[in-house]
Amino acid sequence: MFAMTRELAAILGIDPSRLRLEWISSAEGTRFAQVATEFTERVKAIGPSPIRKAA
Amino acid sequence: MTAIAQLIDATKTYYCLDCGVCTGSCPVARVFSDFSPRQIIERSLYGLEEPSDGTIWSCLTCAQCSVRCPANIDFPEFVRLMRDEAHQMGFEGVPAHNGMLQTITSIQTGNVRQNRTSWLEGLKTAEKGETFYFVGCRPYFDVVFRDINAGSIKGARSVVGILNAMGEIPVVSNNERCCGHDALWNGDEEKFKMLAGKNLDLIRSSGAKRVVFSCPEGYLTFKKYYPKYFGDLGFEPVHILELLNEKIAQGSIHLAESRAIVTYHDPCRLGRLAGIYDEPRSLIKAMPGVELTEMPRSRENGICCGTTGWMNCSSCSKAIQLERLKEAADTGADTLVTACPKCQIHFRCAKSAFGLEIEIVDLYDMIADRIKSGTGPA
Repeated sequence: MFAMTRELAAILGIDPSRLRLEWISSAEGTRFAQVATEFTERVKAIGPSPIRKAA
Repeated sequence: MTAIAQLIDATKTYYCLDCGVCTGSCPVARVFSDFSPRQIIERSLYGLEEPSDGTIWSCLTCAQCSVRCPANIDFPEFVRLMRDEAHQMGFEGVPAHNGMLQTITSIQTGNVRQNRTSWLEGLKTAEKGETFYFVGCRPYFDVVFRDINAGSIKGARSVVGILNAMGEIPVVSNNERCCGHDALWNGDEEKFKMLAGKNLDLIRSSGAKRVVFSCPEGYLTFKKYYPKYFGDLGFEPVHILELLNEKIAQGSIHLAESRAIVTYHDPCRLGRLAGIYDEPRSLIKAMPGVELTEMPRSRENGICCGTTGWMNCSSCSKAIQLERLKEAADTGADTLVTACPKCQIHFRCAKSAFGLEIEIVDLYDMIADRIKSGTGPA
């Protein structure tokens, strides 16, 4: 399902790196914070989504 | 006057004779006893029906009832208008595939830059020109339904290959949007208008004089509903079947011999809604070695493929599909030919779910596989 969603995003003109899948267990709080921070920075670096409706 | 009273007026539903031919003909009513076109109409006439009625989303809008109605009541249009009303009040049907396909079309209402033409490699297309090929949603279907071997892109390649063999170099665009068919039939008129507006801008700016369709839904939507909402289009929507039959009759396309016994499934948008019954059949008969055998329910009586507009896919849909595929196999055919990418997906899904033997083949794949080389531009 994840691979399919990335592929569909690419056809729709949405950068597939806006999607990320990570499996993190409830015992890995530090890991969760690290991934969330990293991914937030990554998406910020890419900039606003092209699917935001322009006037 | 209530909204339902208005749509009774608009569709002249008050002519209903209460004969029940609609419910007797309905493929859904046969497998889902809560759904009855006759009762929806009767309840509406007595002021008892509400747009919140969940059963209105079970209608396939396949028009099996309306072609038989002695009072000429257009029940699919009645349901479409009722869904418009329901949608505005916040009621919806149950989208199939978790609403993924509805989301894909919603995204296309924005200013996206799609990459939907990567499959064109090796085929001849142009940036601008007289003929525009409207591909439809095949690039998305190909990904979403890969697990059931939808073969949607193969079909699109076949159509462009056929056009090339006919000497046409069509415009195929990355900026094409969903035609809006599903939004229109699921009561989302606003989304339909946004998609249609973008398609009209695109095609008009391409300079195309005619737009070729292989998808029955796209063809019907452009032919009937775009003019209804937008007036004169400035180009002509043409079905590839018209062009192909002409070329074959002229002898400018030659098809190789290949033995097969096939039966043909009439897609509701192409048959009952657009009135195209003979063209696909004459094309099949023009293929050397191919024998066409008809199912008992064909042409105006052809049964629906079980789901419309990616809505309310259920055990009822599967029951309808299974019955249809059994009917096809009972003709002695080894192949069911479809001329609609969605019929193909629905039947291939049922084939894989029930482990059936019969092959489901796209009409344009059949043609493309048989076109003799050297008949088109080198």
